[in-house]
Amino acid sequence: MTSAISAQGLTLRFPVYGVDNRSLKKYLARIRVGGQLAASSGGATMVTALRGVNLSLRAGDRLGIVGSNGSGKTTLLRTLAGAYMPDEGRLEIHGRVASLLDLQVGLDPSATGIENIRLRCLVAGMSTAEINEKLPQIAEFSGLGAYLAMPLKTYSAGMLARLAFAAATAIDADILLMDEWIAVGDADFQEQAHERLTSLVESARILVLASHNPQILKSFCNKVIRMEGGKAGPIMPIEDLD
Amino acid sequence: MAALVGGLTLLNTQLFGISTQEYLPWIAVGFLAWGLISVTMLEGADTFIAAGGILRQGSIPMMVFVWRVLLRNLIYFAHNLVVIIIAAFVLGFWKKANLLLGLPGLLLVLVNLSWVVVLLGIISARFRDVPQIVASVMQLALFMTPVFWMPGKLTQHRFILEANPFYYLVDAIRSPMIGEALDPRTPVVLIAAAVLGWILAFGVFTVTRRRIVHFL
Repeated sequence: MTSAISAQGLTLRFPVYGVDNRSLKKYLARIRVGGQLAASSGGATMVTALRGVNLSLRAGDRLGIVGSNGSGKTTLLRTLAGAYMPDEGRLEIHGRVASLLDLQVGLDPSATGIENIRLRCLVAGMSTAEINEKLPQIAEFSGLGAYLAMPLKTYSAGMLARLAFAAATAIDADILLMDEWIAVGDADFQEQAHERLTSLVESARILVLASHNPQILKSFCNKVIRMEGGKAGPIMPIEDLD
Repeated sequence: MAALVGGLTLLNTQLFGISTQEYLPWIAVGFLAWGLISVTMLEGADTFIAAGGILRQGSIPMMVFVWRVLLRNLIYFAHNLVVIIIAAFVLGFWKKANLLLGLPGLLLVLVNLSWVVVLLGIISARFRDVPQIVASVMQLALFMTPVFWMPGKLTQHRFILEANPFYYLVDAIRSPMIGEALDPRTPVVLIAAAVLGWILAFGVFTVTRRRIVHFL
């Protein structure tokens, strides 16, 4: 099956709850005091994070997303990853999606390095057989050696980043979602990591990369869109990025 | 757990004037069942809150996290069961134990706990004071439910027993395992609760599933 992303009129709204709206006791008290207040969606502020985004990508597309902070880049990536369900519009995704939005997600501090690699791969949707096959290679790439048998809480931040990176980038994906180009570890590891990420990007059929760095975008993407206030501009060739 | 059960046996056999032979199986198995029920509910409140990072990143089915809580507590249960099995052989109540009835009882409890976990997980994600409320309710429920005391002593105000859902949950596991007759109302109450509870939980889940990730 060919990989493709097709989105039409994606609109996403979500409620943002203040501290006052997070208490059941206060909520119930408010209903008793004045039902009207509570009836208005619990007093939460609705944020429209995406407004009618259209997107059509096929195999070979490398899309860069630019835009200022709060323009909806990450929300769009999370929607493509399937974490947020759009309120309006249609979204169709064909192919296996790997989201490298947060590398350290799902890690358990009291489990060992090896156990965490397994956990991270399971979260990414790999099968047990696939994990067993990839485990030696992930362990080797992390360069942590004997430390992999120790609990994660004994790791330094750099070691943790190495482990998370090695595990997260082990997946074979058709569609790769990335929020900023990932750089981890010391100078030596950074180079290896850059190489690995580059080969991952090259083997993926579709890349969607949100970044503030024009150099990165120019070297990895062939198309670009600009997000502004939840709206996406038209897809432009990367040469038009100023 | 063994220390707690031992200490309470020493105290309560004297307070209530019951023999150790009768009281120890009661409290040991009762406390085992209580642990399964209460810890699952306490952790259930944290189901989706703890999964926030994973849920924001991809499209893993949310029920995975519900099963995760249940499975983890089933492992705790199996772990504590070892103590009970030893006690059962030492005290000899294994001869009376009815595993054929105990397993369906455990299953019925798990089916009920699972819908409670779904509901608590959703409500707690939205209202962050719910986990604390659950904790205080469970504390009260521990004293109101016949875990440490025996319902035979309760002559007046039987509604304390009959209106307490935790009584039936504990009974479904405890009575078969210590070889006593199940309260005839237990299967009826638990099956009815399972059906109604799952309908409620499924309804709430259907309505809020798109929103849960935004609550986190």
